[in-house]
Amino acid sequence: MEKKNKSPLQKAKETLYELGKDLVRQVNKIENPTITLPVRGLTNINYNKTKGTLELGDKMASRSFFNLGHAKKFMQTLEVAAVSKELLNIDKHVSLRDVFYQVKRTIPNTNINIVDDQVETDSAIEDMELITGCSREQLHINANRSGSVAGKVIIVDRGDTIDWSKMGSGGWSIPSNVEEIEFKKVNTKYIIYMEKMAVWDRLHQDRYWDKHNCIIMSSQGQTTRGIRRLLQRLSNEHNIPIYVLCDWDIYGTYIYSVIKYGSIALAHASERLTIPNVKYIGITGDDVINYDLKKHLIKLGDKDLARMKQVSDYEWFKDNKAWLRQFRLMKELKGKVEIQSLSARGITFISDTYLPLKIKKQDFLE
Amino acid sequence: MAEKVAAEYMAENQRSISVSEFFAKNRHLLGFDNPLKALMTTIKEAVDNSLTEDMPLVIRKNGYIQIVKIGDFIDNSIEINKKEICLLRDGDLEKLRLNENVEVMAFDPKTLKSSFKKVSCLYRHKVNSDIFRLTLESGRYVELTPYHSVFTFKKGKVCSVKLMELKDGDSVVVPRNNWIFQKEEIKLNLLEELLCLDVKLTEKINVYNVSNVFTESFILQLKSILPKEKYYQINDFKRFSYLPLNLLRELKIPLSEFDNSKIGFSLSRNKIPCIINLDKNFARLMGFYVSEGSILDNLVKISFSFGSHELDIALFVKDLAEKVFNLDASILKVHKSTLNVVCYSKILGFVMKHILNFGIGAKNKQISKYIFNMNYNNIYDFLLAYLAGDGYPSSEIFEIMKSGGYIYNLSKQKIISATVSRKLHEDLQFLLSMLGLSYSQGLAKESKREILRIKTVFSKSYYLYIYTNQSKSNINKIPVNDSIISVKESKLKYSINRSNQQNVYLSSLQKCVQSQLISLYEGCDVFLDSDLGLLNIKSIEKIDYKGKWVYDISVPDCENFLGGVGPVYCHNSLDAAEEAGILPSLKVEIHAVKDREDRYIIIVEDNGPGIVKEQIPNIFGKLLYGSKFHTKRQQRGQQGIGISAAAMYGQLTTGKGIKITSRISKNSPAHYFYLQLNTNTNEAEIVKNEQVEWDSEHGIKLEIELEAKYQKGKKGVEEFLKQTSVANPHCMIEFLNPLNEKIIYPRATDKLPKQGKEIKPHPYGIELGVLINMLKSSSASSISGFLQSEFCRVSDKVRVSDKVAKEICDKAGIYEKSRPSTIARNEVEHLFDAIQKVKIMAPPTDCLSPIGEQLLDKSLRNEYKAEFYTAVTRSPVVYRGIPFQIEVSMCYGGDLEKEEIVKVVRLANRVPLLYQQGACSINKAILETNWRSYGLNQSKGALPTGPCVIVVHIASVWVPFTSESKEAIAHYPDIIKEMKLALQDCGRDLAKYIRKNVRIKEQKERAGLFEKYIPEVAVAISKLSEDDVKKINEKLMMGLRKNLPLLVGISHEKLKEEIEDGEEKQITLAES
Repeated sequence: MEKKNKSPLQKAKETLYELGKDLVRQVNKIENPTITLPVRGLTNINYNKTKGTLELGDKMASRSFFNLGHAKKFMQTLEVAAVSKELLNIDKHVSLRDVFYQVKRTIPNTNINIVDDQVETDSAIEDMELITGCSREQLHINANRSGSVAGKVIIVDRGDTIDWSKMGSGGWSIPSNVEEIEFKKVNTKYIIYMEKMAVWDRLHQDRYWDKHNCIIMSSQGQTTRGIRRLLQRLSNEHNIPIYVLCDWDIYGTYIYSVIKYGSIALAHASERLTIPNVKYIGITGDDVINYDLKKHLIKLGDKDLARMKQVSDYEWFKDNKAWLRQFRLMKELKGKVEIQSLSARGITFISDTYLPLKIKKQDFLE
Repeated sequence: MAEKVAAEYMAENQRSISVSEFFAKNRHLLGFDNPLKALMTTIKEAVDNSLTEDMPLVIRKNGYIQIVKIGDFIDNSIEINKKEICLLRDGDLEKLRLNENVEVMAFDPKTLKSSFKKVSCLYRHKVNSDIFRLTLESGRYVELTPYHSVFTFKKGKVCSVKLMELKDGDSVVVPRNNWIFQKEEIKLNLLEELLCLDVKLTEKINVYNVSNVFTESFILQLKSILPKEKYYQINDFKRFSYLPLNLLRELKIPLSEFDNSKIGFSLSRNKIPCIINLDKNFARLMGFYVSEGSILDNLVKISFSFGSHELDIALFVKDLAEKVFNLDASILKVHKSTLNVVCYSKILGFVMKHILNFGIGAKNKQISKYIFNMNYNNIYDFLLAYLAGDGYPSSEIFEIMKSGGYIYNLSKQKIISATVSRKLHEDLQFLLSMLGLSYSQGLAKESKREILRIKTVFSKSYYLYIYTNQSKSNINKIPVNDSIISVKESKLKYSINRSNQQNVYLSSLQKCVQSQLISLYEGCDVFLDSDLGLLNIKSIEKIDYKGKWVYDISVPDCENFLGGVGPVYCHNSLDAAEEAGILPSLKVEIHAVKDREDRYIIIVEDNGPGIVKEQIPNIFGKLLYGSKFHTKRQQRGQQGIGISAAAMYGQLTTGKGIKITSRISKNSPAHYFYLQLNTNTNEAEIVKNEQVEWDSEHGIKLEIELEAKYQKGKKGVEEFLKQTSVANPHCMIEFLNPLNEKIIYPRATDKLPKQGKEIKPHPYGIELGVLINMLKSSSASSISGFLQSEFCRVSDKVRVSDKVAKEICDKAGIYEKSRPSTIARNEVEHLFDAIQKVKIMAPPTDCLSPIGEQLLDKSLRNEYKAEFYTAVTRSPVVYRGIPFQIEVSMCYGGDLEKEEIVKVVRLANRVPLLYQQGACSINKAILETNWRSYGLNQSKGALPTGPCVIVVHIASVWVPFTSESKEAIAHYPDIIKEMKLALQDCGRDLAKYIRKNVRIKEQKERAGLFEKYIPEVAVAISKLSEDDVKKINEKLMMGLRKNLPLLVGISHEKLKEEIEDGEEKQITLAES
């Protein structure tokens, strides 16, 4: 276990050291110190059809110090790298916010702050991932935890044995870094990941996972990296099918899309995060019709429509007839529906009827 | 009864109050309301007085002798310096003050010695009269207007005389002695000259024998210039030891490296050396070329043709070609009567055509400037070689040339030469004149003759006859009547009388003087010793001149120049006084009077023309004296009370009068006056008047003691003088304040302002009362005549003058022939109304003298340290018959106060206005302009704020002031409108600059960030790499030094481009 953990740490350390050495070489030659990194953004994203994931293209950008437009970002990137190096040296993890405060200060005798906003460090951290090829977690920087899980699984994390079925009402809260978790015992048929914490609470209270021998997992809103990684590991290492439960709106669809195909911002980490065989369980337009949820439709705004246009144009959706049909339905019904609207049919309708029926019928979208 | 007594008593006490008494009591009207202002007003008036006259200047640099056409030369100079031309006389006369270095041959009026003198001005004026050709006995001629002068010799003195005053038989001054000043032999570096030619012309020329330059660093340099794919050429260059000439344009290598190299066309034979000695051999070879040489059109062949009997000359020329150009020429017998010396060298042909420029064909032959710049012996050799070719007797001349002899060695009386090139003919005459050789000339018309039964066409050719016995030339003669006063020896007297001798040889005259046989007019001895000679006039005839212009040149101190076909000294026909060459400078001193805090002595001194003694008491001791009131011409200063008011104020407050020293020229003494003003009679009382010693040649010095208060700063004397300097860029001002600190306000230009023309009042601008007075005092016999003579635009320039006058009379119902003085009061009113109804052309605007955009800009730069300057001069505008012109200039940024209200400099006819800004229309115009849109802050109804100076100048024959103290300009809508337009014009420039400037500043600031970033980045890098921080820091700083100029440089250019494109996109310098 020792060995296994040390190697990525060592690798990260070495990468940062090499980065520094490379810069020193440039500096000594009185060159313009330059870091190259892949371009981030939609222009450099490719959808790999065979793998079913988003991948970063090979467009490279350079960031030079002696360049009015780049200088500050260059400095911020290096500051973050230095912070990361220190963290690695003392083997401590910190949060994104911590990094921000570590870097944030005023340059002596000026009124210039190295960073003014956490967005800047966050972006620099993502750049560091690209530059070093190490994940944020490998650089000992963690995101905030935000997510709960319950199910018949026993794991070991930092030497503690944890049983996900015995975590009380809140469930086990998922850390940002799940790399070092070891699955001791996994006795489960499938995983339901849901967008809404409230729905998770409902299912947990109903002990749905116990009854159906599955894992329920949730985060508030966008799926964090930690959860995505955890899902991927469960999927890969234990071959457990994953079903995603979201609101029937374009944002829900996108949450599903990120889990399945990856996101644009983290395309470089696709390999470690995406789960191509994940399935969408609900809510669907058909559910709206079948369960008579029409009266709970929330009217679509312009923003929704614009976003829908964008999403439906994504390469991974534009040929997906099932999904295009969903989008069309959304437009036809001129509305969206939240998962909780199922409660209109009874509080435990979701755990008693809706989910079991869906799984029994294998009524999924892909 | 008692009432009557009281009335009589009162009447006794009544008396007329003189003007001065009135103003003494109401001095606030004149601007003497408080001590502070009193000081200012005094200085203001004193300064005004000094600058009303215009004075020119002299400029000089260095030159190369060349014979050019005066028209070409002046036209070209005027073309090149279009902006600086001064238009005079309605544009009929163009004047260009030459800043570059041009000298002409001129003689000193005192010593009569000739030398090259700098030209100060060039003129050209439209032909407005017949043109005459003045031909002298040798055939020399000049073409002149009748008003143009040449020089003649009268009673021992050289004096100028107008062409129309000349009579046949008068003599005209021409150069007599040689005027070659060049001693050294020059070397001509062909490389230098070739590099001045167009790149395309020299494309195929290579420099050979260059192995010495191929050093390591040179090859590196080559590599930096050549594109990579042409690197292979370098080996070629090295191997065959040559370089393409055009590469030298880019290479940084001293030309001296190529002193031993040769030049040639690529792939062509017969290269020639880069350095040519302009020596005897060169002169001879070129002499032969001018007479006998020709170049093939494609330049590959130069040949000299000689008769078959002239083999010795041919051999000699072949030898010369070898010596001068290192070329092997061959002698060919092309015809039984003709021998050719042929040089195959394209480079030589090229050099002959484009550099040496002796002309290619016979008709275009001329003498290159290089010949004129050689020393005496070499020019002489050139001439002999030329004559050996084109002259007769050629073989004898050839022998003399070979032996290094002179023309007088010739057995014949004269040498005859002929050419078909007019330019060569003229050049030769200058050459002869330079050599001091006298000659005469002739012209053979085209003719057909039969020689040896062969019909031959002889084209028009020009002949020159050079006398071998130079001393017997007419040029050495001098008129008896104008040189000899009396003959002491009777025999001689008899012989002179008997032979009715008109002219006498200078040499014989000298002998007679030495033996004291005669006495000469004063000054005659100077002439005898001079460089000048005299030639009699042969004819003066009118010619058909097709040119548009005639030309003139001004040479300060000499006012003459050498010109004409066969040189003749010409007099500069324009008023020499205009060329006195002195720029105005002004000294102002304020001294505190000891132990009296409130008293000061003001001393103002100028270098103007001075004032004649008789006028001094009137001008300085009498109020309202002068003619300024009725002239309509823009003059510096004000149509005001003037200096006498200041004198009066001084006298009122201190009891002391005004002290004046004046001198009008260096030949007359300086006069000192001490005047007191009698306010009862408005007369000056001369307390003291004496001749004094004064080191100034001319000018006026005033001294007034007065009660005043001296203040520094915004409203102080310094500010006034500063503004005066802005308004008068040609004037230098020196100021000594009471604290004994000296401040100098320098000139922004050496050019004098154009003087405004004087105009008569325009009918539209006249007031009824004035019209009545004018009618009363007019000497015109008819009302029509009155209108035409007293007003502008009723008569001058307009042919329909009668019509206009008649129309006015008709409209007024007045008989046009009635006497002006008989017009009744009510008729005058009719007349007045009629004038307003009749359409009359606007007055001319050349009576105005604006400062000009360039000068305003320049003088503003002198006085205010800012970052941005702009100036606008509007076209003249006429308002109610009064022409006026508005100028605005602005400067922004720099040392100017950022948060203050903008500084407004108000100028009226070049005089700063200091008080009552709020009441002035300039203020109003600025207030009403929306400065916020031009990048300045402005609260409603206030002047804008910002680091900015706004100068507004109104030039007009009559500035409408609000009061007699002339502190504010009245609110005439048309004036305000013009001002606003000018302000807006400047405002737009300013706005452009501010936008650009702010962005550049931002960029600069960001560039400065690097320095701040470096320590941080260094720490970060050292943390990563575990290397020494200090070293990284150091290296980064080095990198910054290397990159920053480029960074900032690029950013500026980009910025500029962007602004010009009007785009506002973000600038990124990412280009790695």
